[in-house]
Amino acid sequence: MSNSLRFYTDSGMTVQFSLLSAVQTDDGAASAVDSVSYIGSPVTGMKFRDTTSPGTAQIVLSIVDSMTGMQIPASSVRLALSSGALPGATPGASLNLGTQILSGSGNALPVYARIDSAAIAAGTYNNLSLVTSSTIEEPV
Amino acid sequence: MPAFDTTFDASFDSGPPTGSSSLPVRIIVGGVASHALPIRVSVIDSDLLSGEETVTDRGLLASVWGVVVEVGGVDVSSSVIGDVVVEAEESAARVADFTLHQPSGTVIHTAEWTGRSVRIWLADMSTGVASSLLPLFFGIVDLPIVTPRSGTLSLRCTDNRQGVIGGLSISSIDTLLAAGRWSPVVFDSGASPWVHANDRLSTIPAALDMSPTGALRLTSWVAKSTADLSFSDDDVLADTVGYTDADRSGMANQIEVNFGYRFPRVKAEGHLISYDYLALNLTSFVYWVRDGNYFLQRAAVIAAIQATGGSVISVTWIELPDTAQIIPGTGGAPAGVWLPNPPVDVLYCLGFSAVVSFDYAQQNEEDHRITVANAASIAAVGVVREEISGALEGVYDDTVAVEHNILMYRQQMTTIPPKNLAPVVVGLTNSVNGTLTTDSDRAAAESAMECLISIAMTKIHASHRRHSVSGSIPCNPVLDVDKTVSLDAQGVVAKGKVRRVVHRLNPHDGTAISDFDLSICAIAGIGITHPADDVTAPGGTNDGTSNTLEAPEVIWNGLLGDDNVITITFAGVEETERAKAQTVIESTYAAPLYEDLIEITL
Repeated sequence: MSNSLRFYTDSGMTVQFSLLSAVQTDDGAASAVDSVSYIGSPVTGMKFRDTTSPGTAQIVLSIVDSMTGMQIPASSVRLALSSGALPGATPGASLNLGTQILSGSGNALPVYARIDSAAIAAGTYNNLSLVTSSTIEEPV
Repeated sequence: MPAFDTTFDASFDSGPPTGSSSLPVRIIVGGVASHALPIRVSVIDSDLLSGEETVTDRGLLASVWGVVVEVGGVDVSSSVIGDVVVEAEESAARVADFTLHQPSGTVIHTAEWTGRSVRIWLADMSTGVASSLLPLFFGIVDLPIVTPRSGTLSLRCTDNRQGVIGGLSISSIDTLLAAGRWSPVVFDSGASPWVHANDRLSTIPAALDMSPTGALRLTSWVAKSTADLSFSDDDVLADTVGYTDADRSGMANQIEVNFGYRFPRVKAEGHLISYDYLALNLTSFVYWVRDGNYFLQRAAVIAAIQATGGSVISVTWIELPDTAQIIPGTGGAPAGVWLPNPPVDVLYCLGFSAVVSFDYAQQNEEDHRITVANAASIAAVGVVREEISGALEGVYDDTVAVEHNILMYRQQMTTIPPKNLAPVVVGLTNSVNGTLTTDSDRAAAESAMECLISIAMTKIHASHRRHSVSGSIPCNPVLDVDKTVSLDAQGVVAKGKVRRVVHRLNPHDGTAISDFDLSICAIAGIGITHPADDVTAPGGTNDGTSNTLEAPEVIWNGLLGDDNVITITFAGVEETERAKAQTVIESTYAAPLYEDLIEITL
């Protein structure tokens, strides 16, 4: 059975978010780039909970570094559940998304990300990704 | 030997009951997974990100650039043939068009392509690999177009602006467009999020569109004081700069906002009646009795007032004497004695002073004629008039029922107070506004008028920024509709916000051009700012006291031989107080214009 939780570009969950892209400068002087993605499922009547301890443990969104190719540190990324919380978020820290996420229209959870890199060699860096902890999809 | 076999006997045994129980077990097998969102950070030279430089124009150095196109996460750059065109316009969806070469014999199911993610970057290819990636377009395939046996698949792509905005909640839109105004009197409260966003946007001088990477953004129409990008003759392609003036007929500079607001007022006329029949007849009690005249009955007074439709608010009686009175005879000699009889005397009076009210409701209609205009534009091109309108009717109880309820309450036939009751002011007509529903009260009317004024100001601003400067430069992805551009090239000096940009790239023939249109807001074209008045709704009419009342008339036939009938007559309610009141309220508001710089040398 598949799990329908996904990242979306919009709260209406019409388009999946397949790549979080940001442009920074090699001198580290570029402004931070803020993005918002929505985690949810358009399937109705389902809920998503942490696999290890459903309903008790937090679903966690982590910044994962694949440590391959050219690398940019995870501390270049901040995560928050609101745009206002981004400045105070700890660079590189994972984000608790709650003990469950409900599916359906209006329940997509906005996640804000800020990418702000320090001075680093020019290039295209693909070593980072945002990864949710394992969730189980069940009927509500 | 048993009569029956053992099986038959066993069937009649009555041992302990046996059976089995079941407990259904439902196992929900849920899908288990974790999900990843890849991050790509393109780290580039700061001059490229600021737009000062672009990989398509390296000056004296050779420009080696490429277009990176991904469809569904797969790099299809090597399949691209012909032009890659990305077009962005303010407050519109960004679209991209390109064509992919497909090997002969490839079977295409176009439905599988619709909705696939599409990303397009401009890249520096000077090192042989794509670097310094700058995004031009993030979106989805909207329309795949195929010609059988052509070997090509054309894709029309969109940033899905309508889908993204349409997927927002109403509260999210209100937060995003908090600078705007909204009123259920002006707009449809049941509108979809898409319509709601456009409604709010019609009150803000700003564009709502999406960045090349798909982020919603609101950009003011007003050009920034310092341009994001500056282009000179060195940057602009030869003979590409042009200027188009906005036609005068479309340059609305005076918008008449007509708004009608109808609501009820509850009124009370406060009449004072004072009547002293001994004084009026220039006599005294003993002579009144001697002449055999009547005493006025208190009940008759009350009945006479109520017969007119009035309500007695208060009454003070001139009482009969409470001591014996000697009645003079002819020549002054006593002829008899009048003795008080308290149980009966309280039914009579020698006069009275009463406050009487007449209560009624009146419909009021305020006809607001609001002029929103920009004086500088009118002075320059004359009046170009438009008109918008709105109306609101206060939701209130049926006014006939309201009047009836007040009468019942005033005459103490019910103790349930009416919703609104005007305090009685003696000698005047007094009024209070009816208590209306929150979506039809004065605050709702003011909100609607402020909304219409904002729409008018936005329309005037929009109509004056239709002047346009166009040009073309070597493709620069930083040039976008959120940018302010300063231009000094080919005889045109201008600064304005980018209204439209089209990036056209063809890696095969080396074409890489960005066409742009700047929106120029101009009257004199020298960058003057014409400030706006605050958008605060004009005041309305006030409740309270109005006309002075005429004194009522009392006629009592109380002399010996008369019919002892009392008649009280009040002046009729003034037509202006009772009939629907229509008040014209005129007001004017200055519409702002933020002129951009434009100078053309012939």
